[in-house]
Amino acid sequence: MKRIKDWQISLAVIFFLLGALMAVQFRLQRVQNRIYLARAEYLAELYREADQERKDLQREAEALRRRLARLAVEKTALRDLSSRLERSRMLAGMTELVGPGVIVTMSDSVREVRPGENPELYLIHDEDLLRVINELFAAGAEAISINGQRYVARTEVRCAGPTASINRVRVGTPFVIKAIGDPLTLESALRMRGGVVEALSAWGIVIKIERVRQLTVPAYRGGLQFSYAAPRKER
Amino acid sequence: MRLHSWQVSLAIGGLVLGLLVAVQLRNLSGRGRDLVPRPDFYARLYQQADAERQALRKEVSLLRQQVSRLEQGKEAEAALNLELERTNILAGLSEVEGPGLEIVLDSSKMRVPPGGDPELYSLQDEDLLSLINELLAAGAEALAINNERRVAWTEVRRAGVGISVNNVSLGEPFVIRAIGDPVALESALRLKGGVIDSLLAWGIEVTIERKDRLVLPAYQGPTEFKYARLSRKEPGI
Repeated sequence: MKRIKDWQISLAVIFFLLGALMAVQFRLQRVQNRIYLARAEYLAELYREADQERKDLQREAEALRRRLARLAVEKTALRDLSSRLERSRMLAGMTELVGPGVIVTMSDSVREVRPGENPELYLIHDEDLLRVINELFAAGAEAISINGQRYVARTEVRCAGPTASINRVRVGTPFVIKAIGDPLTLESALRMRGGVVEALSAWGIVIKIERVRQLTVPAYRGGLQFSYAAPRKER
Repeated sequence: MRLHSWQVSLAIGGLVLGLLVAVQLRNLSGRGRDLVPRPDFYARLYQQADAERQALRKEVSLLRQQVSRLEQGKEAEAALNLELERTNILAGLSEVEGPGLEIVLDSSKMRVPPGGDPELYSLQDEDLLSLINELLAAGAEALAINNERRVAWTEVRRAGVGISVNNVSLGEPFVIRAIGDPVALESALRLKGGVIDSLLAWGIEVTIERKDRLVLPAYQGPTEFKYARLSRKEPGI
């Protein structure tokens, strides 16, 4: 039998150890790769989620910004709308107004009713109030109130004895008419020859006219309920 | 030269070992590495995407707030529009329609006695004022005389041969159109001893017609106040 030499054994052992080491290393590498793979997959999943949400959010932010821009345009329209409403309210009589003008106070006749005479003649009638108001408007009055009731487009004046119904509210004598406008023009329109004051004085009705630099005409409080009238629809 | 068998074994062993090392090295570096995804690569991507996502979330919630604030403004716009519509009816700034009454007055057939003042024998402004007042008392919501919408400061006043309404001279026949309950308006006018009776007594021709739909024009006159201004109580613009 051929003798195995010492160096041959050593070499075999070295190769064996080297092979074993390599095998272990190889296995470790594979295990590590598996762990790496699992972690990478997990992170990749997280990334995909975050990326998807990021894209959705970007889209939404873009849509919102576009919407904001549109709304900003409408906001300008809103400002225009509120100034139109302000003007309309002023013209309709829905706002309290101040300005120069006249205060006209009308009291029923203090003259004694002679026997056989109609006492009605010496009372203030709807027509008298309407005439005074109409005269004031014709002379350029811009706003009028009677005993705190603003005279608007739908105001009625009904007299019944010593009281009157104005804007469906009962008011009593004396009637205090406040009118905003040029005080001199308003007064002279009433005092004109053959005018209202002259006509009413004949019946003993007392009319006092006071020119004032500043007076306040209240807002109409009757509301804006319309059961029949509606803005015209295009047909 | 003869090869020993151990020399052959050694060569084969060395070759196998070398191959194994080569494969191992390839796995550790170069293309082999790319085959297995590296976690830190995705970690970095994820961190970036996550940071951006957080920022975008804040951005979107801020934008949503602003939009909802402005959307409320939109509700305000609808409310303002409705209020403007109603206010315009009272102000006379818009055309209005509705059922109502149409009254035509014509005094041209009134007989003027010889030597009488013809002006006295025509329709007087006071007749129109009373008629309008009567319609308003009966619930008329909007009125027009001929083509002039009656607003708060409308005068009805004799001026020469015509009657001035909104500073426009109108001639006969006068057509008064009132929007409201046609039956209520008509019966108020036809009351015994009422306005119509006295007009008829003078010989004025009166025709009254109920209408299902009347259209009244908008006020066309000036709308600037020279003397009146908003009280400090009012919220000005």
